[in-house]
Amino acid sequence: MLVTAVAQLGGLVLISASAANAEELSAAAARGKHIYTQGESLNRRVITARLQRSEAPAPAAIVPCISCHGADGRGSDDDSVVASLNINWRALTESEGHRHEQRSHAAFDETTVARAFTAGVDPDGNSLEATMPRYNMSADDTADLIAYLKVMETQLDPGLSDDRIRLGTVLPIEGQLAGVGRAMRDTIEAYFNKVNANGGVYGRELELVVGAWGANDDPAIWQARDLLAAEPLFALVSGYLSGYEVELAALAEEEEIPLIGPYTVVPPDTASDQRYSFYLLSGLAQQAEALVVAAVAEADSGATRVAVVHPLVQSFDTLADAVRERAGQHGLAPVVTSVYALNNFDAGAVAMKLRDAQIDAVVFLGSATEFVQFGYAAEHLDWKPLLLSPGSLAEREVFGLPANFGGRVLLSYAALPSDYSPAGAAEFEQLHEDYAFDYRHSIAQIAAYTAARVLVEGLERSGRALSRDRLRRSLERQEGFHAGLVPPLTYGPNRRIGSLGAHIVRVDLVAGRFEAPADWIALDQTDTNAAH
Amino acid sequence: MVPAVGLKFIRAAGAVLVLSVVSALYANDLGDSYTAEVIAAEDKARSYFTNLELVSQDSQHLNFYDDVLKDKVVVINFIFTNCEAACPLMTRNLTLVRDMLGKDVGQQIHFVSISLDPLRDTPAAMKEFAQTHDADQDGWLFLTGRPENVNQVVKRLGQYTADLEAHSTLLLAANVRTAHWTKIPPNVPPNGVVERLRLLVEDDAAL
Repeated sequence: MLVTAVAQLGGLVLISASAANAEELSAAAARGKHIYTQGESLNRRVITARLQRSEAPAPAAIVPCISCHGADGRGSDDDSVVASLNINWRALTESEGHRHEQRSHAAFDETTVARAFTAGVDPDGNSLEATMPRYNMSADDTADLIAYLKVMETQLDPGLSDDRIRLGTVLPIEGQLAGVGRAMRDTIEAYFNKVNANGGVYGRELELVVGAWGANDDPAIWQARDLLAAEPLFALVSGYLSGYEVELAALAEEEEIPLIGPYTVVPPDTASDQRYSFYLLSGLAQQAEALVVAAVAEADSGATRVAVVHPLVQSFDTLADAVRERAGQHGLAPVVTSVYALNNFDAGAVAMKLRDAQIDAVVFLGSATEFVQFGYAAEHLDWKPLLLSPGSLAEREVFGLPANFGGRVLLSYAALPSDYSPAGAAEFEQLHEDYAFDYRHSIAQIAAYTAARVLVEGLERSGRALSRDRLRRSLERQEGFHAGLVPPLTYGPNRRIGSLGAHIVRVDLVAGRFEAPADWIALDQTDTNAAH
Repeated sequence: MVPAVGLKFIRAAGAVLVLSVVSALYANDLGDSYTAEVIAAEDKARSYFTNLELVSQDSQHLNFYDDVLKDKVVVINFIFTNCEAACPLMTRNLTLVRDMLGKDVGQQIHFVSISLDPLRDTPAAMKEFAQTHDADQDGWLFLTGRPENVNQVVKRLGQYTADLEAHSTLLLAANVRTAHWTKIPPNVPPNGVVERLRLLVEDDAAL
């Protein structure tokens, strides 16, 4: 039994030591941490809890301390739980006593802390709230738990110290995309420098650590993995790893590290198993949904028959279902999906098929070249459906479409200059002036800047007692946050894309220009987007 | 009158001259077609196994056929660093084989471990795995790379499965030059593996 305990203990100490800034736990504190987080004793004794003054004991594992008091002892932010008291050792013991709503008492010491969680009384003998379980544990376990409570405050997350927060970003600094990557890096650095010049966040400076890829053909996700393995980082901000969105999200979950605003047009939208990632704007799949709604609005008829044409790629796996659901919500006839193998688009065949199906509107998610091919194929068949496509895909060659299509082309954009608030634009201008970064990749740079703004907002809302978990929860509570240059951003426990919706811009093929103003199609119910 | 030694010398030199002329004649006939055959076989092997780029634990970028297989006797296994049971065991068995072969590893016989999880198995992760298992040495490559490259190579080696957990635990042993490929089931003990490898090496002597 002694050997087993030591082996388990060894494992524990290793785990906590890997958090690079945490002080190494003593053997007793390590066992105490297990009790605090799991409600179980490593000494093979069973710990039971009595809840709500009932006499029947339940396993403490169902109510470990952490569930109400949080990883840092400052309580859960869950409003339904009354445990916002700070149980860090200093708060408990180094005061003149505590004054609560119904009672007050002297400061705690070791003995009275033990009595609090075993007998449910404070140092003056008053009963604690009924929601606090009373735990039945051995003297050894009690001592271990107290050993942990004494040092809990010193256990800071990786990348976090008294005076600094280290943030990672993975960008192409070499190779074909070096221009974009470096511009993004420079933008984030400029913003961090500005924040630091104003005292940082609660006295902590922001430090940016860049994981650079692009020097060779190696998968960019390796750079993200290597960065996290090599450097203690508190969170990942922005970043550009196109093609590895799913892997990056999985890595963030694996490492339990917040991933804030990576630059992508295909945010993996599996909110249910993603606690740590936060994306900024609607991607191609969301824009497809908005375009379907736009098609109906344009025709002003629910009888409009809409088709979505897209290549067979992983990012569009769930697209058909999402579009179908959206169409259903708007009382639309079922949307037809036409999928083609990547790089193998037969414009003539697809056009013929859709014409025969009497499609009135086509949402196109292929390349700009393929879009134009499709337009010509349709014209050739004397068929003029409404054509819709995300601007980021199509705008490059949209004026190559046959002029016949006249005003019947609509493009979607997740964000437009019309989203700039005057204050936001001024702030960014000032930043550019003060820090003189190259501004040639506006969309990517705006995305980088916005990610940094969202991060700092989350840090500020978390307060000085900062942890990854707190940051994550602060981000989840952001509602209608104005980052200055993009639509308002809202997150939630089940919502990971900040702006759900798209601007719809009509293209005048004859005059060769985009028409203003653009409509906004919201994909969510919040009113914060109604301002458009 | 030429001294006896001198005569012998001249005769020997003459013999050498004749021999070299004769062998030159032969080289033009037999030698060329033999070389051509070998080259053709090699081209076929290179094209089949591919020269796709894989990356070693030391971040060396290698062409699979030319840098990893060509002209070698190899033993290949398939791992991923997050594998809990089978891979550490397999690797351990291979280290026992390595111990028995001693300095032949890296000379006559080369060990190759290929990742089945290339996006998670970075070169650094492979290096750490190799070091943990006392397997990081000359003559033992731990390979990863772009998924499309790794998957294609693994398919060509006949060991591809879509389900990572159900991955192959076979060892492939081959004398690449003689195109003699064998599969060794996981339950063969280390000295059994050593024997098969030595037999493959002897293929060369038979040539």
